[in-house]
Amino acid sequence: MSIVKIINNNTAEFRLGGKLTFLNGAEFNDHLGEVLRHKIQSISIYLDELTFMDSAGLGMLMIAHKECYQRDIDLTIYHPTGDVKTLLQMTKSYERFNIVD
Amino acid sequence: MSIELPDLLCDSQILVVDDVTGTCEALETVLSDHGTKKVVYATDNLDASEKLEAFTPDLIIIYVSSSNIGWLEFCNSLRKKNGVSGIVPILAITDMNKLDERVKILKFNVSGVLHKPIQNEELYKSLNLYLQKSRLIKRLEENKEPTAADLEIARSMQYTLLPNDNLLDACKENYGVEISHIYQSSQALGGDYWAIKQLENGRLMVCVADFAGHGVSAAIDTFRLHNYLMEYVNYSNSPAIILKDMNDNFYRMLPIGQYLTCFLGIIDTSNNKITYAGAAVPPAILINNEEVISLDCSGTPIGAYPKAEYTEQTIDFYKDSTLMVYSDALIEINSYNKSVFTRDSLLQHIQEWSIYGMQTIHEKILTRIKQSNHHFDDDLTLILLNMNGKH
Repeated sequence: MSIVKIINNNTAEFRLGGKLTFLNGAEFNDHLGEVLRHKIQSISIYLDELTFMDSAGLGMLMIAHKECYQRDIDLTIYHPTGDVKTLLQMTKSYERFNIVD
Repeated sequence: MSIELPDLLCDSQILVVDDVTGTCEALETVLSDHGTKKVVYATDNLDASEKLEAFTPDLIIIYVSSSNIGWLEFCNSLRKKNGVSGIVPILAITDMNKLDERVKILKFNVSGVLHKPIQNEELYKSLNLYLQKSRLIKRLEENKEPTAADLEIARSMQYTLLPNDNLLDACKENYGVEISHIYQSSQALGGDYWAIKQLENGRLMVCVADFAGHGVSAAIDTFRLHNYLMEYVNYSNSPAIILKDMNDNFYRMLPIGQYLTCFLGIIDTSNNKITYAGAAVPPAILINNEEVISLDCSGTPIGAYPKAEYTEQTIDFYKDSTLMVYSDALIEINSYNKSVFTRDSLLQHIQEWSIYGMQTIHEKILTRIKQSNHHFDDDLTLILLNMNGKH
């Protein structure tokens, strides 16, 4: 998995590529923890380049969602495609997360 | 599995609590005859509290009846005041059959409920399973890596949760439903689980579940699910209601980011119907007279959010109909970017194979898995159910 993280004033942006799975979910969690130490008002997670996400990977997005909700941070997930989008649809995640296709 | 679980009863101390001395003595005899290391009994909560000051049990059995229902509070106090560790199983033995009574028992820090009448062998086996689980959790809490022997024991325990040949034979005999299955964990322990439960009035429950993640923590959660299903499903005919209740329960138990996906169906052989609900599992596949139907099983994963609603569908499940339910490993890519099937190709193959019987379809799927030499990163479960009518 590749993670590009950009923090700019009070916004943060993640660009995830490759596969988000139980093998590397902790890595994403570490990056998220670091971002949350800043005074952030919104986080954008771009999934354009993410080709695969397993159930543990989705669990990481759920954790991010919960952490942001508790801190009153806006979280938006952008551009899921292929199997990642299918997983988000199958799990009704569109009803829980703010997802922009 | 041919591996026998070691009998931990012979190395265990058990506290029995009941206000009827005769019952305590009878159970003490039954357990001692089996070789239980030490059995102590108490006839009320005060007595039990005193005994616990001088004695640390590995497991506690408490008799609960409608006349001593107030003892349920005692189960809470055992954990809170008497310092009985959360990993020491407290088992309630009861003759209460009403829904609200049984659900009430489960909400009071009780690890499990055994129902009277109970045969000695069933008692030994149940106690042993709870002791095995407790020992494994204890090792994990002590931050000790489970040994290979621990994992093998846990693996054997996990297999005991799954339907055995006797149960499958009973399904064929009593319900006319033939079942074939593939179950393989990607590690020593798996987060997949499947269950069949015989219900009253010609109904049969089938459940396929997949906990997020793998290994020990996911495996322990399969035990929780097994306990839940074996207790709760007696009381509801509605898969959607069962999933909703399951979500309420598992949301309280699971950490954020941990959840399970689940297919739950109830086959009603009296009218040849199946009612099912899904919680984020891949589409199940129904073959009815060579017509292949993909069943939407999307839904909120169980335990991920505090409130979730599920929808159920009822469809025909005629003689010779076959239902196929599977975990996502069958259609997922692995770390080498390979998959045995895609969602579309699986459906296409089943359409092609729909002229065959269930066993042939099973064999063809197995052959394809073997030929692809696929390494599964995730646990795999696949269940095929064929309605072939009572003989």
